[in-house]
Amino acid sequence: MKRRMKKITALCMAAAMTVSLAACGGGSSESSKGADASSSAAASGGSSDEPVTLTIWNTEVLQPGVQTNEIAKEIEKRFGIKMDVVQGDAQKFSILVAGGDLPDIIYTNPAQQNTASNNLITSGQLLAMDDLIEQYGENVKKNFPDRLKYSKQFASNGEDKVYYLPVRAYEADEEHPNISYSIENIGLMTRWDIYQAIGCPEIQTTDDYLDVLKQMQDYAREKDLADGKQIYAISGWSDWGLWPWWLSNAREMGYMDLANDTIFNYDTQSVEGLYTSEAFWESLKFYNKAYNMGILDPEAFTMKNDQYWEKCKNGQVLMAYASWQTENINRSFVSDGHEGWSFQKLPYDGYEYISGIVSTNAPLGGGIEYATAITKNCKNPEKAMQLIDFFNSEEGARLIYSGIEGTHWTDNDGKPQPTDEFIEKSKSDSNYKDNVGVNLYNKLCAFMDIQVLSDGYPADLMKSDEQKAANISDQDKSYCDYYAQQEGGDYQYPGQVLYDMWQKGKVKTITDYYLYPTLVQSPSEETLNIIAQCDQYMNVQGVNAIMTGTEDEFNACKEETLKGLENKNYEQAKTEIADLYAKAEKEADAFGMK
Amino acid sequence: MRKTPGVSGGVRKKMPEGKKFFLASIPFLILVFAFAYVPLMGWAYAFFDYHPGMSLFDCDFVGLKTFAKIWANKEELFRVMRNTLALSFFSILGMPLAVIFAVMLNEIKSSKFRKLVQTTTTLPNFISWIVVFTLAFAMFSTDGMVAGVFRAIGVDKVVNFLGDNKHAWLFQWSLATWKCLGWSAIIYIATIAGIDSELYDAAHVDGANRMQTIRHITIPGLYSTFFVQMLLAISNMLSNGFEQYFVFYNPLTADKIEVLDYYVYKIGVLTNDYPQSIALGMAKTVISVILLFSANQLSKRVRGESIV
Repeated sequence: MKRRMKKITALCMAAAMTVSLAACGGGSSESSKGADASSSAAASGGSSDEPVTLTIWNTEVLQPGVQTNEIAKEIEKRFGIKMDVVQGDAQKFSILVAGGDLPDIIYTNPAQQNTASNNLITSGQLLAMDDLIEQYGENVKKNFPDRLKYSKQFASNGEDKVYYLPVRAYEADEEHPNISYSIENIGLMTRWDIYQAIGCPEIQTTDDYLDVLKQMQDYAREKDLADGKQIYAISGWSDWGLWPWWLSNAREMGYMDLANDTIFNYDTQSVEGLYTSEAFWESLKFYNKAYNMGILDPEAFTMKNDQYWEKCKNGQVLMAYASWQTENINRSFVSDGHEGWSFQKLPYDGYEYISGIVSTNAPLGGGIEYATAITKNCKNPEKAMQLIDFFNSEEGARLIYSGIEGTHWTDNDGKPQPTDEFIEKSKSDSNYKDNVGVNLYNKLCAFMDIQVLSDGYPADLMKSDEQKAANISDQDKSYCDYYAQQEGGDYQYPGQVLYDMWQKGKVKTITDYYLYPTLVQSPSEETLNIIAQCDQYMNVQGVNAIMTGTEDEFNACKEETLKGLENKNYEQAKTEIADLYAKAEKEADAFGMK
Repeated sequence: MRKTPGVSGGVRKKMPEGKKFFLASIPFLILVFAFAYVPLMGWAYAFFDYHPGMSLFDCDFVGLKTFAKIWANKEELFRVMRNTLALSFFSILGMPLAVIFAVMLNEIKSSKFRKLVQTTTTLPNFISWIVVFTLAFAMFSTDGMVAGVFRAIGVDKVVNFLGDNKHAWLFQWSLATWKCLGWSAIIYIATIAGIDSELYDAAHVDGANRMQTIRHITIPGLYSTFFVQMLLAISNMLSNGFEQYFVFYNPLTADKIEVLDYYVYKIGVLTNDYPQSIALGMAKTVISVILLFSANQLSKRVRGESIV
């Protein structure tokens, strides 16, 4: 009986399953018919309406994946292209290279990505863009055309094809130089309110600067300016290698950092190997002194970058390393209710140079640095080139840097201006521009943000003189007022103070453009490997030097380090790189540019 | 449809038991083969001048040059090996802690309290190392809890544990122990549960006290598990994990906590020398297998038991 019941139940269940399967089958056949119908409709004429998704390498967006900000939507509307951003660090990039999984459009940065530009060509990962440029690249051909010549001759592994398209080119207007709002990019920035509170002591040498920082630290600690948290004049972070410990100082000594651990000495106009250069060791000595004075945060060597940012924003740090850091921090000070706090560039901090008072010419952009390329993985190279060409147009540059016309800026009788709403929101919300998408895709743009376009205004409308003056913060104004009193000038924004000092010969800045460092060929794989190993070694040794207790110990550490570098064949790598620069110098004349 | 006579009669050939189990294990064998043996083909890269992105067929064969390169950098290799062995040695020395912990846990009478302790000590095992780093930073940095407490009682000079080279091994070992103690004790707790309760009853009748039952019944009952664990730990001496040292790595402690797994990452991913990192990985595997068999042989001789 039991067995019979079981059989009946089994039969019933089998029947039920058959019915349900049939039902499913019917449904799916109908739905597949529907799908066929719609796809055939698409094929018969609507296919161009389907947006194409292009994967793009970008390290600056807040959110990777398909971009949904206003700028991205505008691009989708105009070109039917969805931008799907792949984000990551050097390690991710190198793994994508090894796996042949690079996104459709990439930008290179040999220094950060640790991958030789030629290697991507020899391993067949890039698409030669010549034909695509011919067909779709009107703007690529029109704007800064020397970029193509450069790319063929110096960044194609000798194949005479365009694999890389340099970006962020800039040509200065000699009559109206672009004066930076504060400084452009890198330099030592100081907490202005505290410097003022201790009476703006005079600074002649870097030792004076360290003394001033010590006084500032004592004052800030005494007044408990960080809500009981420990304050140090100088701090840093450990996950960018030695970046904080030499770059800003070397720039202020008149050096420009180049690829493959080399620096360009503007005084001698020659290229030097970084780790054996005087500038590098002098920078380490500066931080060594700071360490022994008790003004260097011991956690600087264990913290990660975001922890450093937090400390700066909490008021626990009194010196920073770049204007792009402090612009952000200053905005955070205001939104966190610390309107009185700000970082500024002191005209004198003991170094001769101030980097970036005005921007230097860059007719080839950054050369191979940040150059755009299309990879073999791209299924729609035509679309990719259309997008790249748009980013190489003036219209594209304005969109990238200033937003959408009518929403973020308006054209009043030939005078393009940011809208009041855009200005207001950018001031009150430090993430506003990122959320809109402004400036996020600048590494794909042919122009720098300050490039004056044919309408007479910079690509980034917030960087016009009138906007810089109109949007000055109270703290920036107090800085201008102080120096106006000292120098007798009329300063609309902080950069004008520094510009005036430079004009009076009180400080130096770098204005000359040298072509040949850009024309240097990529070194051999072996040399790149030596450099990478030396970098890893120096990340540890550099910090060891900073933390030595006496001058003798510092010198001993330096000697030991130089010996260690020798064991790692640093000299061999340096010689090969020096030869490449010498070759580039010769070729620069033949290139036909100044 | 007419049924074929004979088949419906239910006279089926019975599959031998062993074959059935073998068939059932095939999918897993395939997985083991696919994920443990197929990747070994990647060892070939150690013998070629490979650069990321290139096809192996386009690369020059360099023989043992990569191994020579590792040897040329032997100072660094020795330092890395010193750290690896020291940290592994510490963790092997700390193994009895898990045994002691399991025994003590077993002695707790209140089952609620026992479960509470067991759960709270097992949980850290599931926390990722980056979270542990954040916690450690919050506790041991100059603004952290520990420094705050010391400052409150008037001690200003507090050791910065995260950047302290002298105590780096001890600090890392303590963190690992905190994270894994409860988890490693589980196997011993299970073994204790498997010990025949009659042994305890008999000991009780004979008048043994608590310490004596632990000494004469519980601990001997854990011997074989402990030795298996120790053998495995010895064979794993060269792999003391990557994540922990990756998140805690900084220039101040690099000299002490750069272990073999981090070094392989550094050479492979940070300096892009894939062949060298693969060669290092190969050497590590070979040495680990040798270690396992030697320890196994030793155990066989000394205790008459072995795992392989």
